[in-house]
Amino acid sequence: MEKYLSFREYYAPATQQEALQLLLENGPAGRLLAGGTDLLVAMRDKGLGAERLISIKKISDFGGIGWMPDGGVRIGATTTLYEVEHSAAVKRAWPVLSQAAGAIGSVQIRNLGTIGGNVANASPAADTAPALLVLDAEMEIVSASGRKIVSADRFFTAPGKTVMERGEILAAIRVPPSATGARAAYVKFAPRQAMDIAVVGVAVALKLDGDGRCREARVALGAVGPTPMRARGAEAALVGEIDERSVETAAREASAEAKPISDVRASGSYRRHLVGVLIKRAVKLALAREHAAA
Amino acid sequence: MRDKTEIAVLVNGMRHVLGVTINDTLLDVLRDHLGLTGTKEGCAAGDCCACTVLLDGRPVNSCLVLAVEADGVQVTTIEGLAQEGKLDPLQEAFVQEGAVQCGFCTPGMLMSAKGLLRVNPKPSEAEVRKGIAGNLCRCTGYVRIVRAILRASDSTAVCQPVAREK
Repeated sequence: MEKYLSFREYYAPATQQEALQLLLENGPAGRLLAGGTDLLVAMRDKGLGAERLISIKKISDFGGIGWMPDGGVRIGATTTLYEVEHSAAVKRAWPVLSQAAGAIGSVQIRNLGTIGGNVANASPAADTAPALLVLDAEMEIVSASGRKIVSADRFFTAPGKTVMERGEILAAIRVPPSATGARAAYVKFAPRQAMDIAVVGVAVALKLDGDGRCREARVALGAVGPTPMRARGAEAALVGEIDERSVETAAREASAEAKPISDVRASGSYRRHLVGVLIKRAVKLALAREHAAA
Repeated sequence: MRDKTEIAVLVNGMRHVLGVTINDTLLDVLRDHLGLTGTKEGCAAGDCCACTVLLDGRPVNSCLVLAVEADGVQVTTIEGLAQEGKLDPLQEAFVQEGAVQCGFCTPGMLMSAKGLLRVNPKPSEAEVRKGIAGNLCRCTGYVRIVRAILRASDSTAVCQPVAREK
């Protein structure tokens, strides 16, 4: 089998400064390498030409999961999907993120692939994206001119595109503290139970007050538009008493807000239908979750 | 001839210092440099998991790991499962349960199972199925493989009974 990787140079800088320098020097010929589960396959099978690979896995600031002073968590971009899935902190305070990371590929892929790669590749179907959107996560982006923070909501711009420009690296993802009464869930529909791309993915997060009314809601959709997206009409419908009627309204709103294409995986109208079905499942699952604050 | 980079890897407990090119994968190194051809190449795209090895104890697709990035790691391949000529309990269970047919997926399947039992010695049937979800087998229908893994584990779960083959 002739599936040769043909890049000509490989760098593994130890510091952020070196990585940024290499990225600037190499221009479009330089590609950042983290887990490699997308990039190496794209180079081998899809003819992606990348002359120089710049591995960012040795940069300690880009890895690991750590608490932030406000009780939120900072997940380095090169943290593997397996580590996110099994992190005790993530499982306790943001189980929706653990669940979304665990929905990707196989355990072998999750041991290599990184959360930063899942996000920065900007697939509209990326499983972690809806979860990060409903958690109000923020992207920490570094460049020669410093560090900036962009909300997940503003990060994705088109299929495969984000707000990041040449010379910038996604360093980490910050997830704010889990509020009291916060419950969230991710539901993915795919023909196969594993190793499959989401036909539709839906994440829901609800902040409940003492008597179970919803103070604030977040709804995010994957694979039904050019980018992972918030469904704000559905969010509004879920605020207040959560009952059959409000969930029905939310499902209808989200279906209307989705902008799905028809492709080999599903027709646009089927995707729209699925959005409604999955919203109901996700709300039910979120409500059933025990709350555990960070 | 491309330039070689030197890497040191511990493969099945044995230390090797090897000259590799930047384009070599860990799979190339295992098969072509070390002659450990038990690890198979199926799709070379991360979809079939036939090339699964344990990297620092965790199952990964060796076709997606650059050899230069394997410098300093510990690798366990199918050749490292049996100890002093004695089959690993997993291998023994695969034989007992008839979990091997053509055999091409078996090394990857065993390494996934090994990785699973390392972190979860008492898996449920569902956990076993999730653990081998990436490993494609076109012969067995997986039932006997799942049974074999449960048999080798400390789990008390049993694989759902299946209709007797005619």
